[in-house]
Amino acid sequence: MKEKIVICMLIILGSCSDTIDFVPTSSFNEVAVWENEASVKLYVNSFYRIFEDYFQYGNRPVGNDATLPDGLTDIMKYTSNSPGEGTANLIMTQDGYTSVAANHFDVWGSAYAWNRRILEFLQDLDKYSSRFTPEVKNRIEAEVRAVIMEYIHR
Amino acid sequence: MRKIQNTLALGICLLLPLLLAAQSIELKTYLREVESRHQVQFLYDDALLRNKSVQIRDGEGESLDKILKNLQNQHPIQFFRLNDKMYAVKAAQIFPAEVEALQEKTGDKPTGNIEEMKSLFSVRGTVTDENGLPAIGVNIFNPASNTGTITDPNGTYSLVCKPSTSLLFSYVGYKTEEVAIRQRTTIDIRLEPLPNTLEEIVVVAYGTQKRAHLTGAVATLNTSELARKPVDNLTTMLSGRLPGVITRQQSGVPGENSAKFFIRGRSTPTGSGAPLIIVDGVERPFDNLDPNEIETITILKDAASASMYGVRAANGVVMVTTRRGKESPRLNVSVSSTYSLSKNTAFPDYPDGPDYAYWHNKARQLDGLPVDYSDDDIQKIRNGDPAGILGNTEWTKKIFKPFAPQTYHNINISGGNAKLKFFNNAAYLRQEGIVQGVGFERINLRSNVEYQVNNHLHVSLNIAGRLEDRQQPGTSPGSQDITINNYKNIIFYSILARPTTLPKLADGTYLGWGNPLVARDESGFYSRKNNIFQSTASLRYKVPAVDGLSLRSNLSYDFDNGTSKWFITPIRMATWDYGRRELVYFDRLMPKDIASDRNELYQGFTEFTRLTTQLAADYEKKSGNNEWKALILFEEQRTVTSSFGVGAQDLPLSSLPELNYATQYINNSLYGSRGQSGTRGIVSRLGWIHREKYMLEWTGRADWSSKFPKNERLGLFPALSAGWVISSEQFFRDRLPWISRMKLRTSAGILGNDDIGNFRYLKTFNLSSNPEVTFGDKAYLDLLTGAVPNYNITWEKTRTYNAGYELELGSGSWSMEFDVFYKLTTDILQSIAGVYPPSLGGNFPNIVNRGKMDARGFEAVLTHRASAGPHWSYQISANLTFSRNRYLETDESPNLPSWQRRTGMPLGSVLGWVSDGLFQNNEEIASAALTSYEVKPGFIRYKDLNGDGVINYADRTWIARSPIPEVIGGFNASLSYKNLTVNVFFQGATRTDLMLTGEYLGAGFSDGTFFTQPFKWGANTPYFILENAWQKEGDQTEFPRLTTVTPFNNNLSTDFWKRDASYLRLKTMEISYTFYLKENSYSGKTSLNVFLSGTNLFTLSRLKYIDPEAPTVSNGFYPQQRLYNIGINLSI
Repeated sequence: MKEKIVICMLIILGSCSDTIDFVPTSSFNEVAVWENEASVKLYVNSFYRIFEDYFQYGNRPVGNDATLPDGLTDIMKYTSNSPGEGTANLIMTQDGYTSVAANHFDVWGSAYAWNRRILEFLQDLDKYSSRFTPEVKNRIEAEVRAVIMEYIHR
Repeated sequence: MRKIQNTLALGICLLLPLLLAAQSIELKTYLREVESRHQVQFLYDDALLRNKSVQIRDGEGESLDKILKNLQNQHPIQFFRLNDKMYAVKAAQIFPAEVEALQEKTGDKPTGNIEEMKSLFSVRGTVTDENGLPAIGVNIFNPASNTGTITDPNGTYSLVCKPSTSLLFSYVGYKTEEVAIRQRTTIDIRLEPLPNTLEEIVVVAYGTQKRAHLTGAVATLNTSELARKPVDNLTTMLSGRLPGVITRQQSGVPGENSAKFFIRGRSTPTGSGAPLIIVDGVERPFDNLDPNEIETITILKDAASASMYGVRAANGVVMVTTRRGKESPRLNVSVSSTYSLSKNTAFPDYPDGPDYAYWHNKARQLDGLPVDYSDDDIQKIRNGDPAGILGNTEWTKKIFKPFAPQTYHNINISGGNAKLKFFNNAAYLRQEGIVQGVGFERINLRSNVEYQVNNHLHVSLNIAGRLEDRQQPGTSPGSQDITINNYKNIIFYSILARPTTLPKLADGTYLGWGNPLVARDESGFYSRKNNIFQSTASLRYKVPAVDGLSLRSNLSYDFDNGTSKWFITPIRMATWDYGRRELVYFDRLMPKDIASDRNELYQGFTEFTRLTTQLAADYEKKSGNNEWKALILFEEQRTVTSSFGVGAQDLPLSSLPELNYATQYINNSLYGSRGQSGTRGIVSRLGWIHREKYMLEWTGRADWSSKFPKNERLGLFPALSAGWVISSEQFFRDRLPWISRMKLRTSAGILGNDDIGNFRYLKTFNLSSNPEVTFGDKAYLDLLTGAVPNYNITWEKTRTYNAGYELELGSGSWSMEFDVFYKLTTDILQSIAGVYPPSLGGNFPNIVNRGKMDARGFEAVLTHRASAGPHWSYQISANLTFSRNRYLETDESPNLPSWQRRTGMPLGSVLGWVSDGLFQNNEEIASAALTSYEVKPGFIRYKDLNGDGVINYADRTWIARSPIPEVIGGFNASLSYKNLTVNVFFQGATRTDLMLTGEYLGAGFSDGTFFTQPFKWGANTPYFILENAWQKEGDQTEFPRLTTVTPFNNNLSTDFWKRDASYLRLKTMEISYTFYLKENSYSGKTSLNVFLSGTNLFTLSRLKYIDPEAPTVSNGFYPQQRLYNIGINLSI
């Protein structure tokens, strides 16, 4: 009898709960973020930064990737928060300011990044959609798609 | 492939001299061969046979009589036949009584003088082995009368001898015991096995194996030789002792002096390259185990031995086994104590005050600048300054104590019977640093208990606990971390401070901007405590229904927690401004190197748990000439790490350094996190042994690691190996009869490396620290996606090939082992920055499985052990490890000049400028290609590799080897005479370079250091620079121009600052004497062992002033330590 108990123990010892599938807790990651609607909302919030990058020059002065070439025309000369007053075009075109390593005319870096973030979102929405009711899923998707449409439109 | 051939050829070359030596061999060796060939035994006195050799004629088919006659003709010896199996070898003259006595014993009819025989004395007894079983065929020899016998199948013997003498018991594979007869008529003895014999059981992955059956590359260290030395960190003791291990010990800080430690060098740039460490079957660190609780350390080097650890095995595996109780009729108690003194192995000589002033002035004059020290100042420095400012202070001598004491105590108690066995150990180590305020204390406890419940069931429980306590001043004593300004350690300040001021003003204010006494005594403290608990419970059940099948399970739970407390205090100091000639007062928080008058307290807590479960089935079957062994094992392991910490400042009472009493919380100092990882594996092994001659083994692991995406977790790591005992073949024995055993083995397989962060395949997000979006009247935070993950991330794969041989001559007195290997690592994780255009770059995974690297090398071990006569014995062993790696494929820009390509270069190679001597005058400068920095005569001239007339980044090339040596070797010799043993152990390394100046590790820029730039930041400058610096045209010196102005031109990474860091060390030397206090009828003796030993006693290297293992590009480091030990060990 004693032996039988021991053999049972032996088997129990070896059969523990799932060891390699768990929600990672060491960082904000997709598994944790898509856990519930509230955290997805925080994620959705980040897409409103598009407006900051593309619609409000004042917060993105010269030297930032997101500066659109429009900002460098004579009409739109600006630095800081004062359109028409600045010297952006002078700074941007000064000798040695722009090089292969530091391209201050780059507008695509930011655009590619947003494209990537949008695709990531849509991919994950699909991947984790089973966690939400169709209504919630549709609402989240609609909100983000609306922002995207604005972005593409501009 | 070609390199492998070369290495193989080298192996054959090493073997060849042995083959050629076959013409003439030692008589004793020859007799041993005759013994095995004709199944007889010779009894002889070693002294008689010493220095006698025989010319072998091709005597294979000869009869024994003929051989013996032939030998009698060659030497003044005689063979006496005692019985069918035994012959006594005597000098040509012999006493008849002894012959008769021998004949009487062996049953031959006595023919001689009866009276003579009556004065003799008969001793009887039983000889048993370590398991208490009768030892059959043990040689019992009486050196006084040159008589002897062997034990019968019951392990019993009887021997006629003179009563006052002693007997020697010798048995192949066991320690020879000498026992005085002292009128006793019964002497029972239990023999202790010798390590490194064929029967030796070697710890391998998830089990044990007979050494004779090994087909993989495995090296074992029996720690009995280490046990008595006061080892604070086991990694430092392995270098040169285990072939295949490459180490580098950069620091001597107590409790932090782990050596960097690689098996067969590095084969990937990913992660630390550290091997997987397994203690008692479970992944655990071993640095801080007590040497006395360790039975063996085994390293698994090739795929055959390591593939069972699958995705974690590519860097090799270290397996540590702790001691177990042995069956013994009595309790074994061992108590030992050691007291040690440590001092620096090397540290440069620095000028004192007046000398510093002299050299500093000289340098200022060469610079054409006004001097800092007037003659009057120098007088004040020498004879005292009425103002109490200038003086002669030798800071390095003030900072280093002449000696730092260490104590170590250990007690272990073990014993057991057929059912219950136990081993208990307790150890205490206290180390004081060579710098005041630095210390390390450790307590190790262990209890290993096993119980054989019945014939089928065996249970065991190992429990170990450890307390570690590390104390340091608030300013680090030896940190090299440039990224957090921590390289400004106490040693740094002791070099930085000018030796021309007094330590304190008359009112007690510390003097000097970087006063090292403040760093040491007044900067607070850093205290770290770790409590470690480890446990393993195992069951083994032999299934009665199936012969040879057993099931086992292990459950192991480890728990560590660590607390740290860093309390740093500011102090008001004064410094003497040599220019303005006045005192400047300031507040300084030295540990952070900032101006501040507020104290700070940081406290942290970490917790770590690891749960490992294993369930296995073993099957063993022997049928006829075939032996089968199979294992299937399921393993799961999960770890959880949590940490928490916070910082506060403005503690009104520095005597109460507790968070409660702080008046302010430090912004953003609070942190808390939790991380987990897990692996699951199924391990299999199938071995087949045919006639003890042919061995074939399959090992493999299917591994699932939480570090990889769910559907791509499964990795397969198979290996196949084969062994052939070629010496058992008739053709081999016919041709090379003097080789008693030779085994060839080879293996191939795949190992993995998953030493990357967790969850690299998942998207991560950053929570904004401020609200980013406003809806209505409320602002919200957001979560923004971070860098692009690599959804397909996978482990690195290392294909490993190994071939080797093991050789034994003269029944094991000589043995040799040789292995060559080739490792090819693919799918190396590497950054692909620079591959995409900048606008696209951030939108692709930046870490991909792309690189390729290979490593190759060999290991050789040669061991010789012998006893010469009854009292002398000696053992010599030497080993050599070589490993070299190179990048085969790595992402680098196609625009790089050919001399800067990393592809083809070894890992750790240093990129820099090639120097071309020193400029001697302005004409030379005018016509040379220059850097953009100021150049003066006496500065370094660089080679313009691309010939464009300027020295810039394009002129850099590979100038130096990695600080990790490619070749490491060890030589160990011990000599015993009666109870006295002397042991020396040399260790060396070569094919490695040390950069005195160059790019700081992890900083991406280079600067001069205290060991190359004179008066850097006004610091003291060692004599070796001052006396060897360029001063005038025509000087051919080791160092450039003596100057006080920063010579940026000279502070580049250049081969001018490269030094060959090869070294040879007397790593340890020990003299010990054993007193046998009491003897009893068992092997257990009460003995007292007294020993004197030393560690790092001397070092030969090209670097005369600093230790060759010094950190590369350093501004002062905590020196490696030399130890003098005295100790006693009492075992009862």
